[in-house]
Amino acid sequence: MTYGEGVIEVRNITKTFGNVVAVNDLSFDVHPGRVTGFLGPNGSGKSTTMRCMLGLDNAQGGEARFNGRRFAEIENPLFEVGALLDASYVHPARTGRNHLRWMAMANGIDSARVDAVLELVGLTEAANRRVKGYSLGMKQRLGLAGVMLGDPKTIILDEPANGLDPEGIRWIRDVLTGLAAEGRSVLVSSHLLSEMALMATDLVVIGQGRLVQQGTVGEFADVHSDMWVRVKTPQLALLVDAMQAAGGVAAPLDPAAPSDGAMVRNITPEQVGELANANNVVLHELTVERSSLEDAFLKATASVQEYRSGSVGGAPPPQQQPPQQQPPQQQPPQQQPPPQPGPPQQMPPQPGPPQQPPPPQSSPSQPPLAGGSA
Amino acid sequence: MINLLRSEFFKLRTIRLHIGLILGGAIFVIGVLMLVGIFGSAETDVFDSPSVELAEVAGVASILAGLLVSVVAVLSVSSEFGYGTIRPTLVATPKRINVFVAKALVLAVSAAVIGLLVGVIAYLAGATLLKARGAEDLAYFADDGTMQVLLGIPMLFVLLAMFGYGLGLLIRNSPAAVAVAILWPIVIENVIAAALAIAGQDEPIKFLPYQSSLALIARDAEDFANGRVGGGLYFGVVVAVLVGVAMVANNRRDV
Repeated sequence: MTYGEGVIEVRNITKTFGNVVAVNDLSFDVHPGRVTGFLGPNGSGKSTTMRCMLGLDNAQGGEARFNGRRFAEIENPLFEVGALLDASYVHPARTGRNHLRWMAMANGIDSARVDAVLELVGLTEAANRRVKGYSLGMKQRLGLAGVMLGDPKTIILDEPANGLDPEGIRWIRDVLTGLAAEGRSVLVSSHLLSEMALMATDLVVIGQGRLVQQGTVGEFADVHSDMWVRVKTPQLALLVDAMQAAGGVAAPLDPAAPSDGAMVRNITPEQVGELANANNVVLHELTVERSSLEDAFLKATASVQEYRSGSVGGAPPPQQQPPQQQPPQQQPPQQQPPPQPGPPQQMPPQPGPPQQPPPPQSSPSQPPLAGGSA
Repeated sequence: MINLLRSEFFKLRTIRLHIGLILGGAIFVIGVLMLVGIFGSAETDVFDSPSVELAEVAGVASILAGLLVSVVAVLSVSSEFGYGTIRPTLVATPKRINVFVAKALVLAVSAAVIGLLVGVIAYLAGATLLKARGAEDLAYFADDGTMQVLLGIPMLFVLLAMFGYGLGLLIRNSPAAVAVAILWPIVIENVIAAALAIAGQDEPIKFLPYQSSLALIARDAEDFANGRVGGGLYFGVVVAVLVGVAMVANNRRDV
């Protein structure tokens, strides 16, 4: 097998803590030039996997290879792999500059590079202050400066946006997408798909230590998000009859106001257009809508949630909604559809807030979806 | 390995607490010898060997400084686990044993240099003050065992630093490891000695590694059951085992 520069191969990593299996035979790849979101609910094994990849935790089985080499085999790893597992891993009594200097010295990196990365992350003025006076955002920047010390081809970050304000989150996002655009492999973990959706091109989704799915964001959305067609016409009853005859399942947005239109599943917008034309129906609106990636993520990981919140004060949890007429779902075949013990998917009663932007389309070079492992 | 040694030494010297503890110990030893020089008897004929007796005062005062060196050694490694910096350390240098050996070497060399400087400076300060006050017969570094005592100080510092390092690496919790490092000579070995005495052992001190090592800084080392070399070696072996066990354990542990 040949390895491209910056490729990370994770193969069959298994890690247990006593009787608890934290990571279970997990395998995935991270490719250069892409931000790979490592996604899973809290306690799903993301951080443990990263620690195993870097040899900080001893895995019971499996390994990670960076350009074909295990991490422990790399002589000066900061030149090849930059990793930030937690921005708080800094001695509070040391200055930011000195924190970077000892890291640089360990790999023979010139101190001029320390100043360069401090400039890169905007910490030059605070560099001589002790870290205990840093805000969380400043620590994240310092951590990222440490990652960039050796200008590595591979970058691993564990929840880098945790605790950051919106400006900080945007900064991290811009930095990571910029680094990937330079051809680096970026693996970044998060339990927030909304965050990943804005920066990741690929996703590795895990739950309870097992792989749920690997693929592009688009492929993930195709598999796990619901899609429906919204139509609006003054001749709604006629069009609904035609659509249902064609296999579509329609439900009015508001039964009392047919002019508001209907939601239709199990039918494509092309079919709706053709049916409207064949029946001389004037269309005022024909829109494809799909559930958010957040919903898709919750759906994908519903069966592998380590911790699930219950209802508070009798209020239903966010996913629970009052029963509503629901047409059958139209979904592409899933490779390993996870069982869904949760409530049935709901067709949105109304358009609601703006939907997520369409996910990016899969790249031809992207490997096919990998099914979940054991 | 040179890069790693530089990095570890840089870590050691960029924490103010470490510097403060070392300086505190050094000032204490030098201060004691200066007080001896200022207030001690300048009539050298009241001493058997004024030079070695002055060195012995430096040695005894160095026990406290050595304890502080030991605490610094504990903190230098346990704080890595406490603050999580062991993770970026091992991300920068994945071969754990190299990191542990580099830390040990840096601490040992630093302790030796500090011990030598503290002992010699304190001795010179005390001797110079005494001479200035009329102790003209006092010879610097006289051939009366003075050098053995003065060289015993850095050796003791090295052993105490490695003792602290081993404790810090094994226990990994700063308060607990510091407590053991301080209570070991003050309480634990005395309890062991009492238990051995009750058990009928005539010379329990020869089984106490820490107290045996104090022969290194004693003028009359033969008063110690294991002697100067034996006492130092005994504590050295105990420390080597402690450090070895700690390194092996941490080479396997999750961090």
